[in-house]
Amino acid sequence: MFFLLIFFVGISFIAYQAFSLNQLPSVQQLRRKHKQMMQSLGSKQLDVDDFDGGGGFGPGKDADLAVPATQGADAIKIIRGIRLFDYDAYKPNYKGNFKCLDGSKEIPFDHLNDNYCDCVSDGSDEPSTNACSNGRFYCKYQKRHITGRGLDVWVWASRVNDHVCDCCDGSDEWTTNANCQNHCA
Amino acid sequence: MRCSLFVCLIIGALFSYGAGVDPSNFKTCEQSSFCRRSRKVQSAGSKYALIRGTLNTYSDSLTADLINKENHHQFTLKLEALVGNTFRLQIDEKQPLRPRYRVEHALKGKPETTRISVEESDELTITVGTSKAVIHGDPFRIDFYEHDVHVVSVNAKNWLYFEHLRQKAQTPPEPAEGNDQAQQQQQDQQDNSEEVQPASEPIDDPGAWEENFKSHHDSKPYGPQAVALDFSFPAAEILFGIPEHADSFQLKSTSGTDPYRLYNLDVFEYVVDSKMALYGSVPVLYAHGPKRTAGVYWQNSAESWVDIYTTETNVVSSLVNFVSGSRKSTPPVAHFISESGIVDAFIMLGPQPLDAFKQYAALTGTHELPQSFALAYHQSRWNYNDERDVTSVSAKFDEFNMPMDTMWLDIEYTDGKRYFTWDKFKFPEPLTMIKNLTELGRHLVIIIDPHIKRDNAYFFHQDCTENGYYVKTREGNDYEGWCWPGSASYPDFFNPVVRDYYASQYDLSKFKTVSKDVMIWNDMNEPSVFNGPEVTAPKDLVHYGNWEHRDVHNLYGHMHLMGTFAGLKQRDPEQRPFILTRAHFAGSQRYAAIWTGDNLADWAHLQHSIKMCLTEAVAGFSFCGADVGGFFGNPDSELLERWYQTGAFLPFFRAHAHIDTKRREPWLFPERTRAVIKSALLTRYSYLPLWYTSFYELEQTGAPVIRPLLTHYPADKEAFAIDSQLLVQHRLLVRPVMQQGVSKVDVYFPAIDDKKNGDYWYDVDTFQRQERAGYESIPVTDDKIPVFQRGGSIVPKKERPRRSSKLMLNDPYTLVICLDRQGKAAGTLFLDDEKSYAYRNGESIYVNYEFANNQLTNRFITKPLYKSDAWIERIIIAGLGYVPIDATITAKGISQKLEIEQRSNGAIVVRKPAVKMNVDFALKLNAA
Repeated sequence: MFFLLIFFVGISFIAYQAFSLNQLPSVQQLRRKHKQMMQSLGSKQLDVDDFDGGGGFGPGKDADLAVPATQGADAIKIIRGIRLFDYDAYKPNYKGNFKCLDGSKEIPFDHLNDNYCDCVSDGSDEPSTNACSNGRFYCKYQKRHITGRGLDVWVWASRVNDHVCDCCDGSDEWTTNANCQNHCA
Repeated sequence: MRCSLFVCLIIGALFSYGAGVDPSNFKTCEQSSFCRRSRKVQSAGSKYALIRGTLNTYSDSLTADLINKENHHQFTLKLEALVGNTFRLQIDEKQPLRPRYRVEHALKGKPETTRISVEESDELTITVGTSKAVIHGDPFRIDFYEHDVHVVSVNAKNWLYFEHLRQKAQTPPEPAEGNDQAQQQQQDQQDNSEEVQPASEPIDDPGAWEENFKSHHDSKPYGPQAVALDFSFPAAEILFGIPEHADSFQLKSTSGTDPYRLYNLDVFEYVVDSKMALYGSVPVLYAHGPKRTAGVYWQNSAESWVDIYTTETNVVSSLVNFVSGSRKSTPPVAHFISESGIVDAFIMLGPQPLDAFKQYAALTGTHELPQSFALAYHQSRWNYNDERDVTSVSAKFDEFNMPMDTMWLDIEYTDGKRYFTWDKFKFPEPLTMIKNLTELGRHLVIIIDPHIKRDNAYFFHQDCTENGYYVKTREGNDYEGWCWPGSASYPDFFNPVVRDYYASQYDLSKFKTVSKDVMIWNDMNEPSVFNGPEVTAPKDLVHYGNWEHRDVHNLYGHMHLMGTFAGLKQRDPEQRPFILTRAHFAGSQRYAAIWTGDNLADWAHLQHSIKMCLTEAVAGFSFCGADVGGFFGNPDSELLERWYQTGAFLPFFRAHAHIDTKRREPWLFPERTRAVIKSALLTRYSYLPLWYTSFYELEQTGAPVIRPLLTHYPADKEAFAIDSQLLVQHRLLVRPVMQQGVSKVDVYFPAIDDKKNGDYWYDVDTFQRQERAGYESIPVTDDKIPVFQRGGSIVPKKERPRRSSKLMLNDPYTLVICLDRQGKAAGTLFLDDEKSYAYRNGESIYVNYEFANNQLTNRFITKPLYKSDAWIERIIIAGLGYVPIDATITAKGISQKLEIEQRSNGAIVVRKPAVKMNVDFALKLNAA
């Protein structure tokens, strides 16, 4: 009977601990951020299909390549094709420039995703286009654990907008009418 | 099963030779009666003369009678003037016992003639524009002049030799096994009341009326009928042409050796540096000297031999010349010898190399603009075993991110080598497999050979048997040979009905297991007959029109191609067909690309891939390549790397391998090799716009896509014989690395004048500039072969890699501008939908870019009617000498500033002009 009591108290303690852990602010933030990201990734990407890919005479329209996620106050923007891990790197630095992810070069921020490869060594300035021969395009659909762990799902930049659906969600075909089916599940 | 056993036996037997072809399986000139007879004339000469008073002149030609002064047999001669500095000489018997064969279907159409003026004195002088022909009556001879420079002589050596058709002498020369046939032959001809011809020397030859080679008997019912003629080239120093031989670009003297042989043969493990016949025969020969180039197209489809006499320049002879003070020795001579037919020679008077090549193209045509995939990379093997194999090889290219356009299936895909069928176990659902490829922008090419399995349950065999479509024996039965399927017969493609039947088999309603994107490979069409004389068909077989196989042998593959081409066109009139062929004759380039056949995985064959394709290119076949890696044997990784790098700069770029070799797809090699191969593939794909434009211009002008140096540097004697380098148009100079383990190679930069001045040449990787003519030692690495762009040229590229060329259609262009000494450059670009014939209705963009005075402008050569999404991504300029601060582009009245980036060796990049291909623009560099 005594042992049973001790067992019961033990269980209660563990349950309490677990509950209070959930209340920790850091975990809550992580959750919220993850939820936002998931929402933004799942949302319809707006206003990008008229990006003229640099074709046509005239300055490439500074199309809004960043995607408004939800229209809520704490919505975040995620550039198509980047790795979530690099989210912060795709912001202008203090000089208003973009620094190639491998640090090789610094370019004006409006050269980011303008369908011309500036970061030749890693292709990081063109995450959404096929301009860089060695670039990577991270598919919208990322199979991830809540903690952010998991293998990145990406395709070569050369597969972006080539009329072939490569990402399981078809997110690599965003200017072509490739009619991709979503078969991620 | 029986057949595959047999095949194994053959392969086993042949492999046991080890060291390649056994030459004794093929005839030497001495073993060939007509060659022996015709060559004998070289010692004594012949006596032919024009008969006075038989001359008739017409507006564009003249005719006269010719007599053999020894046997008094008469011939008619016709000399015709053709548009484009070309003469056509035809000599036939005046009254032959039976008609002699005249080649059909080789010319692209009836050549256009032009007006002549004739002046008669001791000689006959025929003048056409700047050229003239002077006919001497006795001894008969014609001299051709271009701008009063004597460039070609016909029969200057008196080696004209024309065996008239005759009746067999009453006493059979040999009481041999051919006796019965001979008697019957005489009975056939009893009614023929032709006067008895005086006996002449050919009858003495034991091979005149029948011939044996190894265990094969040639009945020769029509006896001796050879034709031979010599051509001298007083303004020339080297001769080249007459493919296909695994030999140097420059033709070597044949004194003391066999002549070059032209007889389409399936030679197992052919050896290099050899004058032996190979799969194709293109009897066109060029003679080149510093001031003049001329050519002769000897239109004859019978077995031919060509003797070459050149004074080979060596130290001794040049010393002798120096001492004796004579600059000139005897002019080079080519002696064409054919087994039957007539003399039908086209004399092309240049005067420059490109003129002569274009004159030949005007006669026999060019390949039409290929689809882009045909110029991209092809992955082949005998064999990709089944559907899964095909799909997984294609997927592996994607996995390793290497571009690849076309998968190939060799004979094993068929149901027991019955063409137009599939092996139902290995390929149960070909349409699904094809769809999986085409969805990635890729293509499939399958093999269709001309030998038809003699199987009564096979529809093709049934139809051919019932309708009499096969080539016949002398007795009128269907000829049976032995080839991949075992016992096989050969459709008579010379019969238009047979061609139509064959072509109709490609219709998708009949050949339901392919799609209209599946293209065709025609192999074994020499024809190859495993148990025939010299592995081909006996010469006394009978074709449509009652012609002997002897008369038309070298055309058999050509006729096969005509059928295939018609079939693919009928199947889908919108799409440009792609066909690869092994056998070829003059004119086959209108229908198909060629490759150099079953080569070997060794360095010598790699070297010969360039030599052979250069010769083929000037003979009309720009669309030429060699099996990358070598067909027989296993290349080590270095050889394979170098072969990919070389193949990337030949027009037809396909890896292929024998069934007994180890698999050699790029990912089966170590990382290092894989990287080299990938980079070679990417290089090829980046230059596709140049290849594509070159092929368009080939179709428009007849100018070869790849060219020997002498094409553009005709006065540089040092460059004449160089066949380890090639030019891609007049834009790139390629010197592949074709030796093992070298860290540098000597590259020859040709001179444009006597003072050793050369063009500027820019290394395409580093933009380092070569300014001097002459040999230069260029360091190479595993990943580098010397490729230079000429100063003064603009090369269009596409630098975004894709998995196949079709997916690159709308990708942006890069223009590489290399400046000459004057700071100028120009270059063309052609683009269209890369697939259909719409470009022939003007739906294309053909533009010339010009750079001068720090400004780039474009000029549309034709109205830019094609709607393209492509645009100009970057412009690279080398040789500028300064760095501009920026550039201004003006189009449609709007100006915009562009950034400048720097590259190595002073080259600059104009960043993102972003102008569409069909828009007029001007781009100005702004100095500081």
